[in-house]
Amino acid sequence: MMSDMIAERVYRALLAAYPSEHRREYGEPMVQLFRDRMRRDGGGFRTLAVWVHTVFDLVSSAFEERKEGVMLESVVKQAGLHSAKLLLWSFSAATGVHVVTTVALLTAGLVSLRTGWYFTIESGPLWFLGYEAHVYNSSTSLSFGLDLFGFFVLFAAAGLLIGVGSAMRALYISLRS
Amino acid sequence: MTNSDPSDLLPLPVAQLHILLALTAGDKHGYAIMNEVEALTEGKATMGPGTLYGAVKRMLKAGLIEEAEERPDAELDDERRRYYRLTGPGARVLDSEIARMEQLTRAAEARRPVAWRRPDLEGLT
Repeated sequence: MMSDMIAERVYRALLAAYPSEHRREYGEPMVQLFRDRMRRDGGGFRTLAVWVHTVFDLVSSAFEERKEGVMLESVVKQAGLHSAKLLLWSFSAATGVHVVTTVALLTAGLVSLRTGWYFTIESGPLWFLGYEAHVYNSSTSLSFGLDLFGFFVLFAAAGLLIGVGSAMRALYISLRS
Repeated sequence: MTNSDPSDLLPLPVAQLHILLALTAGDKHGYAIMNEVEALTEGKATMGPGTLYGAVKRMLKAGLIEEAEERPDAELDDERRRYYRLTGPGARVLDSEIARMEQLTRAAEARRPVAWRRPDLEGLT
């Protein structure tokens, strides 16, 4: 019957919810069982009941199969590795920004000595956390401040975000396989 | 699995228990297992393809069942169907599971609300 063929095609398409290995091994017997069930219990409104049961069965069992297929340990390892790499990257980036801005501000400071502008720079013992730099002009009371505190924190947060993203991607790839 | 203790696999998931029980009557393919499980449970449990073949996969791996090479009636049957058979270890695990359930049933029977005979709980039974 045409409706049975359509139902079978739909069910066959829904099997994509299972891991490919499971599909290869049990896809055909599962379609056969679905076909048998439709022949026995289908027809009119009972077809709907078969579909509801089949979809519940498919969702719960596909989740079980996927859960087994996901190498949670490897996903965690990968996320950890990414986080460590990105933390190092964050530290290096913060250092780079620090060096570049220090040079720029020192140059500005040297220029300010000639023009009556005063320049101060403050940095704590944990220099990579950032610093504050100020230039001001005593005669005009003009002041400009630059607070670079938190660069490292900012980069670390970005690193963490990318790390979480990488972990999610690894999980997605694992689920698709 | 053959040398391991059957109790290591207990308690069996319900789907696996049903399949083992269904196969005690002889080799069966998926649809026949589904029908047998329905008969066993008086129509209360219908195994969908996902549940059935997920359980079959795990049971094959654990050595509780195996694929049967010969078919009960090759002339009449669809050759694409796969038949499954209860193995020796599978029978031992089933036996242990039944013993476990019997013990649990005895313990539960002693604690049935109708057996409490406690006046303060009369209204609950």
